[in-house]
Amino acid sequence: MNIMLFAPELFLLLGALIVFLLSLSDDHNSARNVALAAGFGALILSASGVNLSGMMFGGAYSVDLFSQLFKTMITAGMTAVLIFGGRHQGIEKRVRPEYYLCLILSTLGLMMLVSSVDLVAIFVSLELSSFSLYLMLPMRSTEHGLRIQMEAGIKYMLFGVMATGIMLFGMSYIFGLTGSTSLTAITAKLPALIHEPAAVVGIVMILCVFMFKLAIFPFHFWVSDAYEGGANETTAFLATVPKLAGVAMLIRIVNLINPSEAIINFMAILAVCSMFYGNLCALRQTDFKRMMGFSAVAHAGFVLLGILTFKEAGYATSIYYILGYLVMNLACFMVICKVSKSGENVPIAGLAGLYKRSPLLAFTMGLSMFALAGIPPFAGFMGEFLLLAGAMQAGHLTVVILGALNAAIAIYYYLSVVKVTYCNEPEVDTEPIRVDIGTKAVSLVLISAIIFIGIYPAALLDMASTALRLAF
Amino acid sequence: MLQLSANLNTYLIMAAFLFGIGFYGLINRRTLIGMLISAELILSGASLNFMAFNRFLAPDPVVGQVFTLFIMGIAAAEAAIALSIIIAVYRNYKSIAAEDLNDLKG
Amino acid sequence: MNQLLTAQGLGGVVFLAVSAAVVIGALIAVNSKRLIRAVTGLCLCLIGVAGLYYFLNSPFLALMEILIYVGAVGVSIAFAVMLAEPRQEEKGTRATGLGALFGFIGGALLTWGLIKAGLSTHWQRAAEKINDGSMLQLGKSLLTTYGMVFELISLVLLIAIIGSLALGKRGRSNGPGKISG
Repeated sequence: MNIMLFAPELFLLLGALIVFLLSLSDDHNSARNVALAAGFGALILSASGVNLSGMMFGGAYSVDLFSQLFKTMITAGMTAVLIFGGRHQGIEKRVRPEYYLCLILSTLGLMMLVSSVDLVAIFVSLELSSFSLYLMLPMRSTEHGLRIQMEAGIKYMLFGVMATGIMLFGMSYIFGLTGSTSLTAITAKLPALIHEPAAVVGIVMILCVFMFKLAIFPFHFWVSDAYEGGANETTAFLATVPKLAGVAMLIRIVNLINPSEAIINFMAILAVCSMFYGNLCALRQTDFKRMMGFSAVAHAGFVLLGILTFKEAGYATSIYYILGYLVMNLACFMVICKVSKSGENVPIAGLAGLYKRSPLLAFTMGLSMFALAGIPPFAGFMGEFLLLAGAMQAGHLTVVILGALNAAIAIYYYLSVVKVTYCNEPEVDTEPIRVDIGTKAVSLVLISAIIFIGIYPAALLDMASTALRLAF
Repeated sequence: MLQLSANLNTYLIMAAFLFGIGFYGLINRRTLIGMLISAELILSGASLNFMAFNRFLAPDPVVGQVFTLFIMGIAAAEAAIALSIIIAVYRNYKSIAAEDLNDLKG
Repeated sequence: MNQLLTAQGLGGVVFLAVSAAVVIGALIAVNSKRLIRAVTGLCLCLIGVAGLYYFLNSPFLALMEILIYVGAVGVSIAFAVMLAEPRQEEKGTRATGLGALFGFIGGALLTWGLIKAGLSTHWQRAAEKINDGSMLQLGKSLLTTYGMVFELISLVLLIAIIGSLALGKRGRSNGPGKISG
């Protein structure tokens, strides 16, 4: 067993151990630094080990280009969130070390999830990441008399447990049919059994939990509440990193079966419903995070368009799209974290005149909104275009038309944010926002990533396709 | 009666019943603890399914037991976390009735 | 009557009893007005499930079910009920009208769908079992094949303990402390 295969996870685990020891002494600044170092180290280790491959732990853990790519994105997301979170003012001071511990373990759970090729391992690593997330939401500071974080936490948790229960039922049917929990054995046996009702029911039930992670239509209840109730830093994490693992696992599970008309139609309906529901609800929001919550539902619908083609090219586009989504969302949540002075929520009107208070933040926000709205040449446009083109090729004309219509609806609310940022005069706060050097660096990286991803899709798509070919 | 306990279908029906009633409880219960109890029923249903397949179908009759053990561990951890959040809710809202939790629009 | 007195007949009666415990316990758990009765219903149901595990050739899992679920989960839920529900009967504990109807129809449809999927599938029995599924085999498999998951679940339990403690810790500072100060 090559220890390098497991190095990023081990490094994070080491960081978690140190943060755990530090949490005994309320020293939240060094806890944050350790968490940051752990995230950064894991990022470097996974990026440098991107070409490693091998099986570990009795075939339950597969390290390949596919998993390593996702691990790199996951650790990059976590590191960015830690940097621009600053001193995490939105989090109750007394529990900050525990908060960092949750953040690290949640990331670790997601990293192990994308590598797991055994139902038991998938289940337990998924729960590790979810439990940490459930705990991170209510850790928000109650300083301003806020109590919605508790409500958001318990709602998210109860829906999450229900989704887990559905997934376990699905897994039990798959286990009953194939007699094994290893995805390798299941891939070998399941195609022959696909006409059995339990096989279809089982796979759909497993997919439910990852659709819940991505907040696809009937599983979207939690998303706006959790986004609004969580601290800005928590929402920045929740809105970005778990979605990556969600897409990875959707691809892994969908890949177990051959497409049947029923499943494709089912997914197409969910995709269209998510887009309409997300976009129409986002139109009338005044709180920025709540708007982003509904926008997440709409974007999840787009991701599903790539997966329902059941082709390698479609999966690759989904991976490309979720990478763009990660970068765009990190950028706008970074701005929110900085605009919010002591961790309170920011209404969209609160962004008024941002260009005077901090040109860099205003530019980042403007750019990410343009990208999310799907305006060329940025990341969001290319992703949406490729997804729609792929679905068109696969013959889902109605879905494509409805998707394009939705892309048009979405432009309205994203651009109204840009308008507020640039055209309105500041109302309450007029003093400039101080941006620390780390945040500046992150914002430059994100800006260039949004542009680069939009302009050079070919290289990234190639990489994603290679990863898929090697993994499946 | 003998056939009942040696028949896979009996257990499948029982598990499906637990799942359905858990779902019903989650929707219908108006208190957070009541919803947690319903969620536990769903997890038990899934465990029962695993054990039944393990006994009747699987070539390796250990796998299902391992899975069920892990579900039990996760369910215990889940109950601890959920209860601690519920207590936090209670401290802030002075209630655990779901209808009193309406600061967020849902 | 004579048939009932044989060992097998007795087994059948016990099986019916544990099945009834599962069904009745679950019904109490979701329908009773008082939360503490619901907890009792949950415990009854889980004892029934433990009995079913015994019939499924796994006395070890039956024991664990009682220890972990009834012992740990049931008791901690009961404590939470005492801490957080001083005025149990002031409000209806169930939804009325549309919500209740949706819940009932949804639950019934799901049960029916799962039963239908379960019964109409041609389950294939494995030709032969590769081991006897005893506690010895279970332990071996837990520490070899599933070794990584076994380690991983320790992290889950760690985060559950620390997280619950952290939420409790902050609660104390906002609660009585603030009022007296």
